[in-house]
Amino acid sequence: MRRYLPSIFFLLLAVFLLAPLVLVIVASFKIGGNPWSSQPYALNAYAKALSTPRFIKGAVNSLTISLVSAFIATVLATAAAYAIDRGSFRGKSLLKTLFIAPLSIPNVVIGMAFFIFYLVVFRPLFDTVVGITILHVFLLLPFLIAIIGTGMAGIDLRLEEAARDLGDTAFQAILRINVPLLSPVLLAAMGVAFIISFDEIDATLFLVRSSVTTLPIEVFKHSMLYQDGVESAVSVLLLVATVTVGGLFLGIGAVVHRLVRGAAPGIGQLLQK
Amino acid sequence: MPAAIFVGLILLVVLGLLVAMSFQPASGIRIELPFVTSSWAWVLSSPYDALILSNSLRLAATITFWALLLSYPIAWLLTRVRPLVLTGALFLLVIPLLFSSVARATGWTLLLLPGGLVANLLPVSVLYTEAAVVITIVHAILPFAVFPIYSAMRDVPRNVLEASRDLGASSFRTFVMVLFPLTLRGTIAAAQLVFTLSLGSYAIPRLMGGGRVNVLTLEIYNNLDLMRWPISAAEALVLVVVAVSVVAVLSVLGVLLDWRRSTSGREV
Repeated sequence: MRRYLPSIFFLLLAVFLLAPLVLVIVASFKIGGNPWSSQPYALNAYAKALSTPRFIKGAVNSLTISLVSAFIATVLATAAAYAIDRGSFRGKSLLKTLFIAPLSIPNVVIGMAFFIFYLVVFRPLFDTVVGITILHVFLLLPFLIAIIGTGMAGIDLRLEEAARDLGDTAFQAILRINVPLLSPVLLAAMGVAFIISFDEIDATLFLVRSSVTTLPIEVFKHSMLYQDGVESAVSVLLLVATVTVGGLFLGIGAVVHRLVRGAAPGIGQLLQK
Repeated sequence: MPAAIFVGLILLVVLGLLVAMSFQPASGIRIELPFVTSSWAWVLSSPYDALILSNSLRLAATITFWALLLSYPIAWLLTRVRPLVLTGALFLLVIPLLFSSVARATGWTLLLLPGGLVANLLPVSVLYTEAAVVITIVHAILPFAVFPIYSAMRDVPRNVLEASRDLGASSFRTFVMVLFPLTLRGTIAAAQLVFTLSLGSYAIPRLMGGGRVNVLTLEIYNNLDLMRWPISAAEALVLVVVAVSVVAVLSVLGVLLDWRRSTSGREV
């Protein structure tokens, strides 16, 4: 009996973790959205979700916001992580703390702060895609600096120095050595960033009024008013989008990682000569 | 690099504006001089705000307790399984995070619905109660608790535990006297992460509480809707101060316990 305890424990854990998620998927295919009812299975909820304009509009906005903010945040986080990792200047640890600190500030507070910032200083940014994108860049930065910083610490500094000794400018060295070596980390970071941004509700809700919306916020509003299965259908569509786009980044990252790992010793040997 | 500093500065300005707004009269919609403390006085003396702050703290503490309680055996088992099982289990833990918070809330609502599987097993309905909020958040927050504890546990040499058992300590005693102290750092890191994440949660308490669970994050948003921005700003800052204080207290606790352990170890 004792031998099987771990297996039983893992099995119970899997049930606990997966049961509600499986139920959402089942509910999305049931008329009325209640998986316990004897209603037949159908695609009604999906048809309704895909013919509701605010879900379509929200989906387009969400894709735009998440792709753009993930890209911008990755570029900025790379610059910051590079400065923190390679720099040797006073106040370096202070700078690191400053960048990572927002992680312990709840998203609700950051959303509230941006609400005030836009309404008091930059009114035109309130209730716009651009305004929400800027907010998401800020939400993503501390995560990305942490992820990219960890990845950067694993890269041999001597490769970059060697490239510069062989006549590359600092910029060329970064572009030809660091970017290829870092690209798996950067792609993974972008994938994680997309997943975080694409599901964000807590902070975004503060910047959404009447003219702009995002998909998670529309589902959130819908599920507060109705339990008709449409919220389950949109949730499943959100999941598919999250896994596809996020997974695409992570997958490409893994492939690049293989290619670079194959090439890296070559670069190293070349530089040692 | 200058761009990165610029971005950091904007964040400071944005948070500075939040502080400035909290020093406006309760109905203020602009930041003007003179700064007044009336909104702060209102928030700090309001019995309702005290109540919802204690609700928030209780909710976050309950979630942290259950998350740690579940994470310990999970992390322990993860240190003794084959690599393939390990990868599978770690992936299993993050699957809920791939679903949006609305999807997770919908799933638990369906499970807890009258006539649903869990509702039939329980004597009382937990739908739209604090318990429902706790279950739904613990479900997705688990990896944030398991990962720090697991990595701390992985670093504990197996022979230390064997030595304890060989010297006659029971499994329970080995856990209390050896394993728990050695993984304290990871446990505290997990507690800090889980506590701050749950304290700041908004969507799940709103959806799973069904209007009956009132926490500070909901009140911040309500006051914003009621055009009482300075009150919202002050409440938001209370949330930050509480979160940072709890994190700081836990860090100090960790350092103190670590120090006690290392000095008592020397005596032996």
